[in-house]
Parts: sequence; structure tokens; C-alpha cells
Amino acid sequence: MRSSINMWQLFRSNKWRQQVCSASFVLLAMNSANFQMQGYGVSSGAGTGNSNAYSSHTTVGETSGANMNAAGKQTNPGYIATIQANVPAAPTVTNPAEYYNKLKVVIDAGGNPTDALFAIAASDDAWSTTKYVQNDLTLGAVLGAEDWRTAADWGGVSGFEAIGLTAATTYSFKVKATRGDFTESGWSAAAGVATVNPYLTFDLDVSATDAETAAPYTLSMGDLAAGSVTTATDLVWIDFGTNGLFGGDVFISATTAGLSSASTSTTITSATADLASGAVATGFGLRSNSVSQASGGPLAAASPYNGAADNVGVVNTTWRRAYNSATPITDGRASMFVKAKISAMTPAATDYVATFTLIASATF
Amino acid sequence: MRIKRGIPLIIMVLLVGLWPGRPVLGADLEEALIRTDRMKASTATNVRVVFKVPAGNTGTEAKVKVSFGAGMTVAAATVNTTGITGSSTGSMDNPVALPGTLTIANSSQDLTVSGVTELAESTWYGFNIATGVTNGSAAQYVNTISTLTSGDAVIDTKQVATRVITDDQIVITAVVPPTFSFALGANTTSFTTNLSVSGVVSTTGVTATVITNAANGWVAWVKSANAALSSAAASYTIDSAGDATNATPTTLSTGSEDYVLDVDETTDSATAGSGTVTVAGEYDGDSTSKGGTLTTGYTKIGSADGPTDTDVLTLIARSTISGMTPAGTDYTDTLTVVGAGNF
Repeated sequence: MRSSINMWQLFRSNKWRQQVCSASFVLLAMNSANFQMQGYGVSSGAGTGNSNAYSSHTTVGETSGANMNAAGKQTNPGYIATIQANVPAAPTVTNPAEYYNKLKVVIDAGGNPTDALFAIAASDDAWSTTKYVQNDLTLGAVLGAEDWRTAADWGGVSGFEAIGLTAATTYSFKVKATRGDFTESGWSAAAGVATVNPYLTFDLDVSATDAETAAPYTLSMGDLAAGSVTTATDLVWIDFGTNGLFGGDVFISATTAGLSSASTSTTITSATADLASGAVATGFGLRSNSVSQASGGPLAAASPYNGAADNVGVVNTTWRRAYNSATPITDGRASMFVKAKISAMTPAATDYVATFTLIASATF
Repeated sequence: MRIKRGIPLIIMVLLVGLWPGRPVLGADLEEALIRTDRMKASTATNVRVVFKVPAGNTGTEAKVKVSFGAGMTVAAATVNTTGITGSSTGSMDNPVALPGTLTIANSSQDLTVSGVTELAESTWYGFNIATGVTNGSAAQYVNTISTLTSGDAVIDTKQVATRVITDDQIVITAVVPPTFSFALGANTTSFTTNLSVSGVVSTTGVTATVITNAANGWVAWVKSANAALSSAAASYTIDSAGDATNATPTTLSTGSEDYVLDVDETTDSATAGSGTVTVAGEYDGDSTSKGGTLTTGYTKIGSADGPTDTDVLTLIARSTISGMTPAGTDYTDTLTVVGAGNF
């Protein structure tokens, strides 16, 4: 039990007077059935005793304040040490989602009270240069008074994300605490982790089932039948992933207005339509079939490709968004049906062709 | 005395007010993306650059620099804001055109757009690099977009990943097979009344319907089994008189024996892209007393010059007899009607 001292009670205690008179340099905790004193000192005078094996800070009054250190241990003796905030443990620093410009930091309050304030230092060059986490969570060269914040302000057990960091760089963080003037603790041990590079993955496949295929990519629709909707056996598949903070998009366009035959100068024009409708004589387009991801996202088909059954979206020379993820995403995968419908008088030809271009971008 | 004590306080307040605060240079662009319109390796690509100036930005922008990752080929380029029409603060999909009289210069991996006028905070801007960039080999590239002062000091910056892949195109092929549909409305027909010396008698007509995607249309022919209406019981024929090759229909004369075929155009598809139906001149009778001569060989009765989703011809036999034509209830002929697509 740690107690504050009622001086009047101390003076009334013979034991207290006895300690003062007889213990000139051995500093012990004073205990009775009612009292315990820790870190006390009376009068001036202090010294350090040394031998080959030991070093002892002794005092009657305040110590020199010098620390005692051994491997992995440190003792801060004397009155100053007793009023200093506890040194926090090393913060927990992680990169939980392939961050390229931020890292998650959770500070350890070190048993300090809830009103204790903490400052956080950061370095990306093994502490040749020290920066400080600012109260806007960026790193700055100056530690201002506003950058001392309570553990709760630093996000408590959930922590916070230090932002504005450089990609592919290892950052170390350390923490110190204070409870007011003259109580600032030493720095904690440091902990660090690296940001990664921003990345974007994208790939195409053409397959009847979910499988990786190599370029060049050709999808044959076979013979089209007049008056009915033909769905190609093979589907267009995409792989998509990014750690872009704001996700990314897949866009599609075509080099022509639809399936075109040079030999007959005919185009089966692509349009957004329900090809099964009797009102639609001919048409050509894409319809999303599936979307999935390992994490993040979600990957979502965009209008007009997000219909059902034989509702297809137009693919022509205008770029249109086919898929979108508003957040970082890993292992995104999507597939699209290619559908066409011709009329009885769609000219016969074996050279109907359309060339789709699919691209992806991410927003960082 | 109160006033004198207040003077240092006022000075301190003024000094605090003049304190510049945290520098704004070198911050992150709030959001940024680079969209190449080709992702295929070793392929020239147009580039759209879009970014959002962060809130609190107080720098005076004069340039925007795009530093492409090593491996991308950067050459003399052109810049424009075509198709970028956003207003106010814009959006990612429709940013505000990068303001100013833009020029662009290349140096190593960098393309620097100059002539930019000051950018507003919390606003999306965009511009196009129309030429000058060629994709490298299939890989990821980390590029950097930076806004600069006139002195080339970085105001805001952001790293952006782009990817180059082996092939970004899919070739879709399809075959439209040739189709030809030809159907007769009936296989038997009769004259509406007994043949008569007092006028022309006709059959009710049989339709021939053509549907084809033959690019050059279709042709129909007819041949007669006997080139006449024949009665076995009477051992007599009412011949189809006239010249089948003169492209002019024959006009039947009351009281004289004759037997012809009139072909009418009942339907000529009006669907866009369809052909035009033409009835052969020989059979294109323009009255109920005209028709073409029938032979035992195939003779063209009609055609079209393009595909059709429904063309219909109606075949009507017409006949007259004389007062001496032998009576019989078994006068008959068999017409064979065929068609073909001209692909």
C-alpha cells in the first residue's frame, strides 16, 4: 500500500524519530500497522558507494538522480523518480492492411493514470532524425504542447493511425509520459514496422470456369442463332487488387460499336438492353456474373453491367466503369457473360468481331 | 498603471498571432490516381491524371509533375483537358480541368506541366497526357504526382501505383451462319369457280414466304409439270400460251383458252437493312386478267436484293377457256416453286 504522509502523525511516531537518528544512509521503506513510506528522504547529504561488485546510491535527503542500469533493467532512485510518470512499455506498431502511407500505433499507458499525457516520437532512419506524432496524426519536427495527449486521445486500446508516411519505409515509434511539470518519464523502448509500396494488381482471363489463362485472350461465341440470346460458353474474368486507400475501378471499352463484320459491313450494335425482350431484335453486351474477394472491398459490378438474366450493358468506344471497390481489396475476382442476339436478317458472315479493352486504376 | 501592465500582454498576443504555425509544404495530396488507357506492355498510352488538393492547402501552385516509375518510357508529350468538365470542387469521375495555359516538358522519367494557376483546396483536378508515355514490361510501376511552386518546391505529393500487363484486350469472335427459309402457304389450291367462257377465273392464291440473311437477297423460280391445265378424263390440255422470256405478262382474252401465273408482291420487309422485292416482269400482272407464261423449266418469278425477315409473294393461277374446251372435272397442273439465298 502506498500512502501519503500525515506529518503530524509522523512526528508522533517514535519509530520515525528512530529511523532519522540511526539510519543515516540506508534508505528503507518504513512500515507499521498504519503507515508505509516509500521514497522518502530527510535532510541533505547524499553519496554513492562503490565496490567492485556493487554501486549503491545512498541518501539522507535527495539522491543524485543518477540512474542505475543493468542489461534490460533501470532504476531511477530518489524523490524525482517517485513523482515521475511511469515509463510506458513500447507501443504496438502494425501495418494491418498493407498500408503505404500510414501505420497503426497502440500506446501502452504503462499503468499511468488516465489523465497522464503521452508524447510519441517516430523515426524512419534509426533515430538519426526524430519526428513527433502531431495531434493531427501526421509527423512533425517539433513536439508542441498540443501533441501531448492522453492515452484515450491517442485512441486507447484501439490506437490510432499515424498518417502521411512514406511508402516502403520502416518507421519506429516510442512513447513517453508526463503528469505535469517535472514528471516527464523517459522514452519507452521503440517498436517499428514498415509501410509497403502502393500496389495495383490486375489480370484478365478467358475461361468457362474460374481459371487462370494466358494472353492473347480470344473468346469465341460460336454460331449466333436468330431470334434468341446466345451466351458465350467462355466468360471474361478479371483479377483485381489494390491497397489504394480509396479502392479502385475496372473500366471497359471496345474498339467498335459492337460485333462488326468487315465482309458484310454490318455491326451488331452493342446496347444496354434486355436481349430476351421481343422488342429487341439484335444486341450485344456484357453482364456481370460473379464477384468475390479475399478481404476488403467489396468488389461490386457497376451499372449497366449489374443486371440479371439477359440484361446486358453496352460496350462501345466510350469508357465505362465495370467494377468498383471503394476501399482496399485483396484477391478481387469477377466474371462477365458475353451475350448477343441477332435477327433473321442479320447478314451471314464468319468474321464478326469485337475487341474489348479492360483497364484498372486505383485511387491512393 | 493598469495600462502599462497590459502593453506586454498585447505585444505577446500580437506575436502569437504572427506565429506561422506548421508549414504546409510537402503534405499528401488527399487522393490521387493515374489511369492509363492501355495497360498492355510496350504500348503507347494516353494518361489521365486526377488528384484532390488537400484541405488547408495554402501553397501557390504553378506546376504539376508526374514522375513515372523506372521502366516506363517518357518522351516529349502533349497535355490537354479534353473531356474534363467538372465544376466547383469536382469529383473523381469528373474533376475540374487543371487551370491555366498548360505546357508540358519531359525530363528523364518526369513530365512537368507548367502554366498552372493556383489550385483550390479540397478540389479535384484532372488533365490528360495525350502522347509521350509508353508502357514498360509487364510489372507494377510506382509513380509520383506532385504539385510544385514556381520554384519547384513540392507543395503536395502522392505516390500512385499503376500496372502493366501482358495484354489488356479480349477479342470476341462470332459467326452468323447463313439462313434461308422458304415456305408455301398451301400445297393445293383451286380456281374459285368453274372455268368459264365469259371471263377470267383465278385461284385463291398460294403464298411463298422468304426469310433469309443472305446479304445479296434471294431468288424464286417456278416450273409447271405440264405447262398447261390437263384433264386425263378429257385427254385435253389448256396450254399456257405466250412467250415466257419476253418479261411481259400475257393478257387473257375471254372466250380463248389460256393459262397463266400471276405473282403479286404481298410483303416487302420494311425492316432497316432489308432488301427490295422485285417480281419478275413476265409474272408481274397488274390486273386480274394478266399473268406470265408457264413452262416445264424453271423460270424466275421474283427476287430481292438484300436480307429479309419476311418477304411474301402470292402465286395466283388464272385461266380462260373457249366454248369448245372439253368439259372435265379433273383439269390440273402441278407447280414447283423453289427459292435460294444469294449469299
